[in-house]
Amino acid sequence: MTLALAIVGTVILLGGVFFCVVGGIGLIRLPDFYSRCHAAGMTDSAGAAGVLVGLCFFAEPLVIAKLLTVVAFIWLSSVVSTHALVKAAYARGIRLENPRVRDWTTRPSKSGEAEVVVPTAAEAPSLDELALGVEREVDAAEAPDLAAEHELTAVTEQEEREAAIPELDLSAQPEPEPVAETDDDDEEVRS
Amino acid sequence: MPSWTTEVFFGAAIGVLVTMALALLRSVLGPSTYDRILALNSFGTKTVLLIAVAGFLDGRPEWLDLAIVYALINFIGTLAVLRFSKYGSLAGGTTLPEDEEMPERPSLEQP
Repeated sequence: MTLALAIVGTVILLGGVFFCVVGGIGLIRLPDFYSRCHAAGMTDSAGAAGVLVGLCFFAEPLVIAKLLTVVAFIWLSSVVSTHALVKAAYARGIRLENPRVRDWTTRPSKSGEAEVVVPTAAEAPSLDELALGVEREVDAAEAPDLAAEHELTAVTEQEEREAAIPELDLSAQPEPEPVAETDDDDEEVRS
Repeated sequence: MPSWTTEVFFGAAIGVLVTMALALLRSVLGPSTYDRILALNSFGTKTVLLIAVAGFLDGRPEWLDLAIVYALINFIGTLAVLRFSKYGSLAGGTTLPEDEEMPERPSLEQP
């Protein structure tokens, strides 16, 4: 019985070590930051869990409880820290090296296709600049475009509303409608 | 317990050490800061594994308490570095009532 437990534990332990080594090789060889995040995340979840669960087969009950605590904590914290890391890296402008798909986080343009803005890692502000509060110039190609789009939709909605007004009871409330229209207009431009 | 468990633990420790060396290499090579943080996080997790395996190798599984503490410190440290690199200071992103006259930090989000 002890021998069988030891054999099962050895298989799981060496499987975990295999995942660790493969993840380490992927951490070196994969071309991209996000791919390397995949390698590290796989190592953290499968490799660490394999090693620690494999050690459970050689241990006493209290030690098994400790091992499972470590497994649970690593499964929680590794996922959270990888998510935060990827989000911070994306916010700082790190992009895929050779994206084969459109970036779905950018806003679609008028023609319906997403505009892919790919800043290189050199364009992102460094830690020193960030600590000093240096403000980079933002690529101004997108902002006027968005403003024009919003104005366009606002105007068309206003026209629709004006076209719809004569169907309502216009003689009862002639005055307050322009005020309401400008309020709506402002909100739409802001949003 | 069979007699070859020591060799198994030794081999597992060697494998984890190799992975730690690879993560350290990435943290030296890494082109961006985030690669280095990623490698450091991975290195910390492998340290937890190494402590656990070394405890079993030495016949003293009580070292798992050290592993738990190390996992906690690793998580907090990674989040602290990320917070610094996103906001520019460890207190970024929080607005206290006394700080109303402070200038607003530049937004880092891509439009």
